[in-house]
Amino acid sequence: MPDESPLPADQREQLVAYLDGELAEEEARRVERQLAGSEAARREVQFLARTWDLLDLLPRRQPPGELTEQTLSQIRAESLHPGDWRGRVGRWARRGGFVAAWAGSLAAAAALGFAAVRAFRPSPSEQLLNDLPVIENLTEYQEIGSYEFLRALYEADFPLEEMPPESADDQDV
Amino acid sequence: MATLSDTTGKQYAVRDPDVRFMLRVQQDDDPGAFAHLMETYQGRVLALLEHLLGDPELAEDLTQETFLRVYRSRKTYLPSAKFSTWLFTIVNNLALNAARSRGRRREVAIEGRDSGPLGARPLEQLAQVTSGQLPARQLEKAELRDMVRHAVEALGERQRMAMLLNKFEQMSYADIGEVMGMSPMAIKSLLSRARSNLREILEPYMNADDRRR
Repeated sequence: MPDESPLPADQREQLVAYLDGELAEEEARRVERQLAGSEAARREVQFLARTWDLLDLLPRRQPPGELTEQTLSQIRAESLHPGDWRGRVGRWARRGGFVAAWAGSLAAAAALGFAAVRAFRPSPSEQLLNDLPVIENLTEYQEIGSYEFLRALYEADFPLEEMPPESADDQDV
Repeated sequence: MATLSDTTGKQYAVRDPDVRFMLRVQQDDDPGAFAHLMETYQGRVLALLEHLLGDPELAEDLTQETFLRVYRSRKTYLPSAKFSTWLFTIVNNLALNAARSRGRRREVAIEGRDSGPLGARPLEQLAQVTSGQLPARQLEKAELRDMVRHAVEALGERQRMAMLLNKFEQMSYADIGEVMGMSPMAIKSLLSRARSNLREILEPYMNADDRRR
């Protein structure tokens, strides 16, 4: 009774490669020895070969006549207008470019606004630096109490730094 | 002094007449040479794409796209392989992209629905179905052809591609590997599995054919 058990995968690979003429001479001889001694291997080869032959039944229609002409026309068109073959890519690029232009304009407007605000409005630290002389002498200015008197001192170039510091006694009064 | 690639290119140009035609397209934009390449390969590319994708219209579009790509890339063409190997690499890439985008659309479209009489069924299931359907009467050739077509469609994409290149283009494992970006050993294994799967599905029909004789 013939052995019906399936062949191991590696043996089947060798049989298929043998049928395809892909084995080196030594390997092919080994497969032939196996075939001579194994009914299962012979059956397997027979089935594999017949299955392969059945593929000849697959329909193979001739390409439609206009296919060649359409392809050649397109090539002629592309040769005349080399940019045209990128039509689809171009369309997408154009669409993308439109959106990118809008986004770019918005971003540029925002950047311009930010720069303008920065240029015309001093930053808090700049403001502090400008006011520093006043802040340093604030106590003295508050003690003088009169804006007109301060102006008169300024116009007379009176050095406020030389004013005597407040004494503890004064503070107590 | 000739570089290695120059030497390889010359070897292919000497051995493969289609490489010479392609070089004429490259150097002179020779329309006759390009037309010759189209006439030689168009039908073969179309048949392969039809069996691969099962969609005649898409196969025609991709056949046209294949030759447009050949023409567009003529200036950068390097004869580092047989012309057919280079051509079918383009076909393989186009087919894979088409199958991927179609797969994505189909995933959404058929979710939760039956995929049809013989569409997208596992091999074991397909083998059982075909075996169960086996009629006592003789199989007509047209029916057998349909069964073969369904069996081919039931294979995975890579198995199908390797099988079609091997069967109809008589490509070696090394050339198929170059087209598909795989090693010859991987192709050997892939083709063995493809043939086993086909055998599993078609064996009942071969037995019926035997009984008929």
